[in-house]
Amino acid sequence: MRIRNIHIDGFGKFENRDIDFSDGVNIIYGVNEAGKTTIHNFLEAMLYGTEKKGHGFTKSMQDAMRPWKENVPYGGTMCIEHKGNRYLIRRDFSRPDAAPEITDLSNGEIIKEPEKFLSVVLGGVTRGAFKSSVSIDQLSSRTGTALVNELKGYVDNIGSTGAPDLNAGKAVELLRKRKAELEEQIEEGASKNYAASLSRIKTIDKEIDVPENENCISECEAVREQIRAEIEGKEKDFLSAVDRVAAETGILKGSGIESRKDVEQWDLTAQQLCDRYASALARKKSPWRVVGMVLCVLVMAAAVYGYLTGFLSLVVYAYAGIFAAAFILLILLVVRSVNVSRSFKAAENELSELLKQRIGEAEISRGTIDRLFMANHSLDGVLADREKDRSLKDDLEADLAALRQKHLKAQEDVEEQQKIRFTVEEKLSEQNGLRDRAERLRLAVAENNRLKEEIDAINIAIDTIRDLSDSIRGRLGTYLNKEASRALREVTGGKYRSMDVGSGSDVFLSTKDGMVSVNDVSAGTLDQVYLAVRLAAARFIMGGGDRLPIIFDDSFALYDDHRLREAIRFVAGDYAGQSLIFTCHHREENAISDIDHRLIEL
Amino acid sequence: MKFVHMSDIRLGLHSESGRRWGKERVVEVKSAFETALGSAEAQGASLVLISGGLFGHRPVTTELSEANAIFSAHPGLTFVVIGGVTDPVRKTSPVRSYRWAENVHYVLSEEPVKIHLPGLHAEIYAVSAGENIFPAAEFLAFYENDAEKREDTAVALLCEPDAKKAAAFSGSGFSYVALGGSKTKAVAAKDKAFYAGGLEAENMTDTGDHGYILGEIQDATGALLHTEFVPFASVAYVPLKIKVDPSIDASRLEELTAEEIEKRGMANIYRIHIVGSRKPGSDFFMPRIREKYRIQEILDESEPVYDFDRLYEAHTQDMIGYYISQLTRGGGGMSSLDKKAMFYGIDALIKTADKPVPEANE
Repeated sequence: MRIRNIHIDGFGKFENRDIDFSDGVNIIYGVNEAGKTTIHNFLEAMLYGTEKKGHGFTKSMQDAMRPWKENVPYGGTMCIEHKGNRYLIRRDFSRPDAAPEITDLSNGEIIKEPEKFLSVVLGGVTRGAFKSSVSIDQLSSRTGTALVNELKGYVDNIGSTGAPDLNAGKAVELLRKRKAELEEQIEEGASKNYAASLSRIKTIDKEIDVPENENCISECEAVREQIRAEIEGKEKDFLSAVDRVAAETGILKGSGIESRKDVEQWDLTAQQLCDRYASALARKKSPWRVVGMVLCVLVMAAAVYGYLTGFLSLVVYAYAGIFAAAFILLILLVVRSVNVSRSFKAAENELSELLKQRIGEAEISRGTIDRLFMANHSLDGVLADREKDRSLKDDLEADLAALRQKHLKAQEDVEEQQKIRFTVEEKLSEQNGLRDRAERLRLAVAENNRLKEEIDAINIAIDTIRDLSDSIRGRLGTYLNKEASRALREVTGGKYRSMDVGSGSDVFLSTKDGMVSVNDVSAGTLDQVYLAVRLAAARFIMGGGDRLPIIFDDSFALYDDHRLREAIRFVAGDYAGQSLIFTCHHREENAISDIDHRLIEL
Repeated sequence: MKFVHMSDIRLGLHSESGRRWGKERVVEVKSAFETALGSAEAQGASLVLISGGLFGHRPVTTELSEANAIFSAHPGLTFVVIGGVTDPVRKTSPVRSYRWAENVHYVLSEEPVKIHLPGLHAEIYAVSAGENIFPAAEFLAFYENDAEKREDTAVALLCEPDAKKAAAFSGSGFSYVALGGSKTKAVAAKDKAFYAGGLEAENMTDTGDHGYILGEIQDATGALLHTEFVPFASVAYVPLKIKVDPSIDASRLEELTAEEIEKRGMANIYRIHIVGSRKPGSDFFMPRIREKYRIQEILDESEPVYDFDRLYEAHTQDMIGYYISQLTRGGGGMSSLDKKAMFYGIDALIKTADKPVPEANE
């Protein structure tokens, strides 16, 4: 497509202005503020309509290009040539949403579906692509490595995304960062822990509800209590028995009695002493001795009398003998009396002692003797009681021992139950804690799932961008390399055969003698390579071929004269289509006086 | 005799223990129970039947003591409690050896027992859930066999989750059958057998009425004079739908949401559903709302407002266009995952572009 001419009714500062363009190089010259950008915008607006939305604080083209004066129509026409045919495009920008009117100049027919037609004419190049590739704004003044880097940057972007401003690498980086932020929020192991908690809750139930854990602590305590009461009772009984035995033993010991034999002995002794006393008393009391003694004395007296009187005619010896006999008898009787008396005294003392000992009274009388035998008798009773009490005590002791054993066992049972109760409570507490934990984990798992879904989406985005990037790079990168290599070959007359712009951090050119770093190439050559790549990109956007006008909007402002001339020469030589070079320098004009071009002054 | 039938108080419940306000909720449930008992007493009730679910889990001794403290604070009420589905009485349960206050009858048996309350002229036939739930049919049989020894009004208290089986009680000699095992208030047999429903809502799906049943039985005849449901719950689960458009940013959304929540009550628990379209890049996580109120869930189904069609049109020759085309091909609409991926990729490309991207609506 070529732009033949434009007529501006009203656009920016222009009113009722015509401009003709030729094939090939068109140089549109105007000082600063002369309206070059306005013309540029007009061309874009005629092809694509005005841009209705601004960016940030920048006004939209629609607003910015409205004619300054009132009553000036806002619009114009553009005549284009496409596939040998001429068409007139008319637009009214005051009605920006209205479609353009396109007339086929060969037959005067209005084109139906003008926007579709334009799209075809433009080869499907979108406004965005047009602005970034086909319309080239200020080129860098950089040279050398800086320029190479810029070239690489340009190729990287356009090579991976198809647009110089889109940055696949940075986009992926941003996505990775967002993914990392989300991943950090994922709670590790949440779903594993959740499952584990649930399973442990079930397991604890099984652990708790085993027969051994049956809660019978109340019963155990009752049993223990009952045994304790029994023990209490029996202990009381036992203590009484012990007291009684002690008392009885006291009594018995006090009387020196240890056993039944002792009692019998005592009885015997008592009896003996009593008998002895009685007999002693009887003997003492017996009058016969006295009678005897008296008789003896009488006999002695009689003897003496007889002797003296001789009433009995007895021999002296007979009197002596009778006297002696009576005297001896008397002595015997006296002795006997003394003995009886003594033995009576002894018996009396003994008995008295015994009485004192046993009943505390020394007096010997019927009463005391009776009491003596009663005491003996009662001691017998005490002894018998003590026997009974002792045996009772032993029984009770045995019972108590047995009961204490049982109590110990019951106590153990209770303690065992307490342990079990404690364990069960701990397990129930653990279970409840787990339920809380499981609930929290359930929420965490749900959140994790939500995060994972976001991460999945990000992964899809990353993969898609990467895949697309690879495939774009595949096509465009190859194309750019090919084009750049071709341009390089041409421009250097074959000195440099090819270059690879897209790969690695350094760019190498191949010569017939080997590889050379692009940094070692001359500046001019580098410039041309750069331009070649830009043009190649534009061509790529256009689908190959030089179909659309390339627009250089003040692109070479920063170039010096020499560089400038070479650049224009290159474009003129390399680009077969129409090129429009907007500039505010006369230099361009001067520089290319030997190149075929049209000069348009604003 | 006026009585109260409650079930599923769920002391110590776990359903919100994963939340920041989980512990508060547990305390609220306990307070609600205390308040309900207070109001029941104020209404003249003298008997409280709890048909299971007093606890949200098998209770330990400290929890039994807490409950006992609550029971003891109402010496004018007689409590009959059975174990339910959440708090069954098993052979190993601590409740078996717990000594309750005098006005509490906690049924420990998995076989029906009869509790005679002469002061109230009532005999309560009750059975706790344990390893299993005692079947309603056999329960009725037990009651029938006991017919001769009956002296006073008969009331039944048992757990039977299946309302159809519970319908067998209609026509029986019970004045009132207090059923447990279901968290929904219902009538299993007209004027006879009732489910009280839970006292408080437990989670978002726990819709339906919450409260307790207040009833009156005529002492002389044992006739059930009337029953009424007293709605109670202090806290409700509220679904809240909020529509957004690209003019609403995150902080404005938080303001709007806060307004809606304050209108409906701060103590309630909300599930927020965001619909509509949002400015790309807006993040509706709403941290301040989550911090301040009780939020169960925020479901953001708003869609970022990139006009993907226009973006595609303007970028047929670069990555943005290719990306859109790649994700939308295959027809049949995009899954929510694809939609998310679409947003993430386009957003990343637009945000990392060197110059503003045409048609990006930023």
